[in-house]
Amino acid sequence: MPIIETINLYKTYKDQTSEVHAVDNVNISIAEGEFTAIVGPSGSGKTTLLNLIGGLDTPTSGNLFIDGQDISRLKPKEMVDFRLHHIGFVFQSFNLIPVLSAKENVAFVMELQGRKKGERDTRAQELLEAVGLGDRANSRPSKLSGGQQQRVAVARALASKPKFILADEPTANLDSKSAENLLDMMEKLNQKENITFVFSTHDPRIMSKARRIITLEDGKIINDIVK
Amino acid sequence: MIKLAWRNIWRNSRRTCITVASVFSAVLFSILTISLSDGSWNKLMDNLLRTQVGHIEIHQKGYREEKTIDNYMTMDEATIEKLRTLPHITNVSPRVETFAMASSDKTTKGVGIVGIDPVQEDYKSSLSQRIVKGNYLKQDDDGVLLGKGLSEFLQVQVGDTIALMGQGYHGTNAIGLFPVRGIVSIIIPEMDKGFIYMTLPSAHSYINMEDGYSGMLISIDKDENLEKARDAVLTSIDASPYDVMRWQESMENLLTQSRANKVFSKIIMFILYVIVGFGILGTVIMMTNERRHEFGVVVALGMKRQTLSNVVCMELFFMTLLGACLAIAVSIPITFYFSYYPIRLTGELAKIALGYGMEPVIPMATSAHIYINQALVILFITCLTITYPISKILQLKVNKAIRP
Repeated sequence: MPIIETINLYKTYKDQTSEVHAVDNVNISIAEGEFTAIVGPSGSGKTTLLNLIGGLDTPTSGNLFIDGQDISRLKPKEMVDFRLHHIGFVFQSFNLIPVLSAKENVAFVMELQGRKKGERDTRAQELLEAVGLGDRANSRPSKLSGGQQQRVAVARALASKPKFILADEPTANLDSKSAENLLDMMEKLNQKENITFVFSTHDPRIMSKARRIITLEDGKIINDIVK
Repeated sequence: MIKLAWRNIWRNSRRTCITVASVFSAVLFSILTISLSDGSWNKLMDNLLRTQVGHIEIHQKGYREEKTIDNYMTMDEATIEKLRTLPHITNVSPRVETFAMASSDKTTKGVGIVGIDPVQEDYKSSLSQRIVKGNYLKQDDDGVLLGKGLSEFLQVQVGDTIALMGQGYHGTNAIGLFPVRGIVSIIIPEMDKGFIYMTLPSAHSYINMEDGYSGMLISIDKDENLEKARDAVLTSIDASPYDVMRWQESMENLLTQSRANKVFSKIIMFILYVIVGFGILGTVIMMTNERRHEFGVVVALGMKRQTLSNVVCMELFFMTLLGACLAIAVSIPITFYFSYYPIRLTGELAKIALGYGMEPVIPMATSAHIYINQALVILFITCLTITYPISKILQLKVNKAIRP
């Protein structure tokens, strides 16, 4: 069973005179353990598609199944809960909570899940070790480099034990060395832990590492290549 | 969540300081204003209760409507003594109050005459301690005490004699010559310039009435025992010929004026609160808009909007509480200082106060409710402003908010 499956998915924006299909009849199926990049020029609909898959936006029509559950029918409150337990996010601009330390940022999602403090602390430390930042657990985001912040963001995304991680342009704000390191780390997590990653990106480095590339244009899938 | 809220408020310390400072100044200003207003009112009441009126007053029925000697009450000594033994009652001062023309060899002036029991009156108003020249009255004294202002007007000294002429019981003429035993400084300026004290026997003799009183002024231990004390009076004597009034009834006109003043103060306070409310709202709007992206991110991560609203509420609550507590902490020494060392008015302000018959001093009141109420009002205003971020969080479009 695919972990992500879209059937005839549409997202349409209307104004007074016209309709724009940001996502136009998209049918994709992503299996567990994939390392997939959704690519395309600006305005092609890749971020909208990622938002739909992440439950941050609702489709105009069509169905979206995550691990067999049709999330396009969930109510907003149910959707928040679903995101919390099933989906991990990595944003372009890291979006760590500035007043919390790296460890607290990672533990934050687990706190929202209602896990006990001891469990949170242990897992947060383990995840920071896994992304190579075990020694920076008590540093605030402002004391970390861009690359380190994005690693913390990956650890945070993993903290909730999600079905998959959605990463929207994760390397866009990083220098090339940090970007390489980050991608190596993500690839390793994918290969060792079988964690599913779905990227939205322009970055050729991600495209070169991705084992599947879905190309969008004007909201439609124009290419879907498995390497 | 509490930790997150606490850390968040110190993220933008300048914004937090502005909010805390606006709450601080609003609470401080309102506490000082109310404290001054209540303090001056309490002072006025205290002066009146110590000199002119009692917490409870007994008068003959009809005296209040027509204050003439013919409407004086009678009460035997045994009943007066019985009143003195009742719970919560600390003093019973029989009074004879009337008016007369007072003449010295230099000039004449209309005055108020107060016939008193020197011992009881001293217990009630510490009159003997206000003697500035001469001596206090003895129990059977046939002399008088003059207010300092009156003695200056009549140009009389201790040992001089003044003539009093007025109306006695049943339309008789009341005439008498009275030696001045002492000059007394009376705290209410209007009384100081126009009142004469004499003993009850002297007053009875002057008005040609053996045992009449204009009223009994009863003092009690605490204002909150007023009803208990009044009930005790009503049940222990045959009260049918009397009006047994609370001080609020005997000073109804003053209380009406006070209520009008309080309405005016409330309008001023309301304007202040509105200004402060908009100040806080401005900060809240700025904070909400600045953090729209952050709100979007935490909701995207899985924080419930209700939980996020709670965090933001806690932040505003902390800031308001901090401002209010600081204001209370600063106001307590100020108000207590000025309650012990009242602000003394000088110049024109003093003249205005004297014109209203008030002592030209403004003490500050220090009742706990003054501090607590002002802090609660500001907390309530903050609760109103919180509706803005909450509505924004509930309407937040997460996919738009998280865009970099």
